[in-house]
Amino acid sequence: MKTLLGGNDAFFQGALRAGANYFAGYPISPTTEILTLAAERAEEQQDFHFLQAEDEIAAAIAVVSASLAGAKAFTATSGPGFSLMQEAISWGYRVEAPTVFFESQRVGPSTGAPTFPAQEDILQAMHGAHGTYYPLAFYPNSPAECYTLAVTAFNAAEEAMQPVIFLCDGYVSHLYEPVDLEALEIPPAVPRSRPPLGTGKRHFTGIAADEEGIPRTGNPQVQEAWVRKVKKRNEEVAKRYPLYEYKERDSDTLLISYGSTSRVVAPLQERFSHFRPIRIFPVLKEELRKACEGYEHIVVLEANDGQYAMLVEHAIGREVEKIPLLGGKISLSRIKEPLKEVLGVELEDVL
Amino acid sequence: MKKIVISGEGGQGIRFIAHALAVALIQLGYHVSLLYDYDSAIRTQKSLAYLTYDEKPIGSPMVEVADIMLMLSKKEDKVCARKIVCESGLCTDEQVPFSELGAEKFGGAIFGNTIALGHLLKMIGVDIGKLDMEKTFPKKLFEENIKAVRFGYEFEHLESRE
Repeated sequence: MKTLLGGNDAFFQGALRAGANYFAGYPISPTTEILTLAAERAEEQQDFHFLQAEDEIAAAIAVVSASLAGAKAFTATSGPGFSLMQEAISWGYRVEAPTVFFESQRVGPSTGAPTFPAQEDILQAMHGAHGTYYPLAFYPNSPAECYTLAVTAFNAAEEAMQPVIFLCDGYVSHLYEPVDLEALEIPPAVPRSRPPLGTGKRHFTGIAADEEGIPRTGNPQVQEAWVRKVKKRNEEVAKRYPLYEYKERDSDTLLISYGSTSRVVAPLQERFSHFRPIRIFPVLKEELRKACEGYEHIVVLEANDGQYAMLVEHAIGREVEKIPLLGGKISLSRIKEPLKEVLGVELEDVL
Repeated sequence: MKKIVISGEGGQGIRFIAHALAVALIQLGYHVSLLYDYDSAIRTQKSLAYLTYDEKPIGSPMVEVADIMLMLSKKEDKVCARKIVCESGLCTDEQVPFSELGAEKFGGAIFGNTIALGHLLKMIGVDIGKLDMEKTFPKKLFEENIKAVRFGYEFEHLESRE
């Protein structure tokens, strides 16, 4: 049966479907609905645990710690909270903790313009924390996809044994559509990859250490071997999820957009080809190269000043046109003029 | 495809109206997309709900030119609409004293938003007799809300003001 479901609600339901049983967080719009749902769930179900921490730093540390203790753990935040979480995320990469960080973007920097949508934390999702690590990030554009992709994110976290960033934005978080959860095709949940507390030898440290958890800071080979191991694992897992949408039209123009921007430009997709990355990291290099072949114009539309466009340019080895949608309003009327300028065509009929 | 914008400010029940309307349209078999766009300062800041419904799946949830706009405050002036229904004094199209009617008929200005919802349902041609009211409206103040919706639905016969 179809019910009206919002992006945040759908992500939370998907997390439960994936087997998540621990949430720690600190309220922040546009994700507070998830924290509220988690608190209600913990009240109803004894096997679901909830912590409202004193801030996002503590919440992120609790999430990584709960993962090490055997829970499927996650949090939900927005830009300012995501910044505070970066050190714990770095620790999560180091101790190989499968975790999911839901990040619904709003206009920044700093407090910015809550709770209006943005896509300004793309590069932060790639390398917001310090050190060498390999990100995995997904970005849905509908409540239904928030649900299915949540399961994918938790599965990928278990398989890659690392934090996975679930990117979102204010519009997708607060977009409500009828969804029949039972009718959606969902991958089976991957079981916990880490043995629970009380089994085997356990020593977790943020210091560069060998497989036994013994610090080996003076041994570059140990660190290098660790980097090679986690890189290989990340690449293998990423290959299982080459998620994107490509709509080909009889056009010399390819538009690239993702998240809520890809929904807003839907009327343009009848006229121009369109590529929507769903797996944001690792960047879909091969898929982008193939999709971009033969187009005179490649235009990246995003609610930031060219963050993903820069990655596309790097992937395909040529410059692209950029249309930034800044300030918290993602609309076709704001795209019309700059797109007209880039392509030299009238767009009245699509508005 | 029909596009509706409900415009007001935090605390006026914009989300209540939009949610109930979306649930009603889903019951009638429509594809619906409902997007909330609001300032997180919440109370007294702008709050918008963009609602699109169609017999086909919906692409963009953003509404820039609405078929109908219900305007309960004047925080947002960037949406164009073919027809505007507003709280008295806010527009020159159809003005209805929703808050006044809510206070007068149901003992609270806040019921003005439920009257507005009934009026909106009538305007888009929904037969409220076909709706499962328990699925459409929250349990809190259920009876009062149903009465206010019916009042708004039949309002044009009483004292519509153009």
